[in-house]
Amino acid sequence: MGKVRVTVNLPRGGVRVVEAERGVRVAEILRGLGLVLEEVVAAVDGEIVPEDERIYRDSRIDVYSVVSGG
Amino acid sequence: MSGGKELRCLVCGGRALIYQPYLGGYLCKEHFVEWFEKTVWETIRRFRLIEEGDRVAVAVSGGKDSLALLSLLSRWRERLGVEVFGVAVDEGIKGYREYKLEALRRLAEELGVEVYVGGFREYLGFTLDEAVEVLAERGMEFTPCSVCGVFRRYIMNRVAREHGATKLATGHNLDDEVQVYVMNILKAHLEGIAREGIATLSGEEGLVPRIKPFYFVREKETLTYALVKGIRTPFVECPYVVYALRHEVRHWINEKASREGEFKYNLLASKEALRGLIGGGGRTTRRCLVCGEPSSKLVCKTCLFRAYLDREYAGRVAEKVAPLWDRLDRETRSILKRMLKE
Repeated sequence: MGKVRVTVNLPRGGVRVVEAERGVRVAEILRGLGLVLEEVVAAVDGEIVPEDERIYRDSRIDVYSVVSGG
Repeated sequence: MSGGKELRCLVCGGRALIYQPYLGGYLCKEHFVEWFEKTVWETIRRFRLIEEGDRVAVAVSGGKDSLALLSLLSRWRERLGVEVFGVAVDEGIKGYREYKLEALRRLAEELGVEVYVGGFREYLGFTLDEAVEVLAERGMEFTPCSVCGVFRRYIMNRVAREHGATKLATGHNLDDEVQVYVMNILKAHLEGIAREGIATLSGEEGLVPRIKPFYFVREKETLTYALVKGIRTPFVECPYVVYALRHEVRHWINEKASREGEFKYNLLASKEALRGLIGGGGRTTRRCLVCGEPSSKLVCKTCLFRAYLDREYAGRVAEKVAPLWDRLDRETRSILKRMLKE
């Protein structure tokens, strides 16, 4: 299978680097970071994707939060 | 993504942008935008939220929902035959509101709409930061959010009315609605459930009728729409959010909804069913004895909170209510005693 290296930019400004199996779903990465799927939108390498999307190469995920104050 | 099988739009087979639980499939960028705008448009038409000739004030906080709403309604100005402008409130929260207002000013300029800002300082004589100091001194008997919410609604209504608005549109989405519903359930606040519908009744003097065009769209959808449309809002969380019950309720609902796609729709359906049973929306509006603004009680909540936070104002309220003390209902009396005590 091999591994992919995913850099995750969190909404509050933090950055996490995650190593996972090639073909990992975006949802698994987000859940692993303690994020609730209904509360975020994820863009992989700049493209917004559904969380069921799989990752096959080293990528960057930008996470946007529904909580933006009011 | 490279190499793997891509997720496809259920309409055109294009690359998927978002999973829509109640459609049971994915939508691409183009069909998601089409679906989103159609849903909001049909909400406006079906519930007659906006009519030709209206002067629509959009309550804008600078967050994604209100900016998306301002952008949509300003684009539909001609189609709807209405005028559109923004109203905003500056609570005076350092390190938060200035960033949101900045995002708002940029978008308003792009859209060519006016935005009128009413400040806490100007309308109430103090900022929220100052109010929170007093709340803390008095043991946080009331949360910053409950006080702020009352003041914001009061100022929004006044600014909208002062600029001739016939409707006040807010960016409240399906998530907001079900969160408030659950909070009202937890507090056994049936009057609140009855009141929080898609629109308030019009014809109450002094109160600009409120409408919620995003009533049927989820927060995740408004965020996706805002991102796709290039509407950027800085991620700055209100520093007082930790005090809000809302915070916990939101997480609980979202965790449930992440596992059960229909959860929020079921909550909304249950809310509407309950509103049907208890008779939604009806409340008699009169004028507040102290400030003269519309109120369902003899003394409005804004004046009660102002009295609680500001000793001078408390004196004014006490003077006004003293001759009418016997006419006040038990609840108002007990609140007043609490508010006015040293």
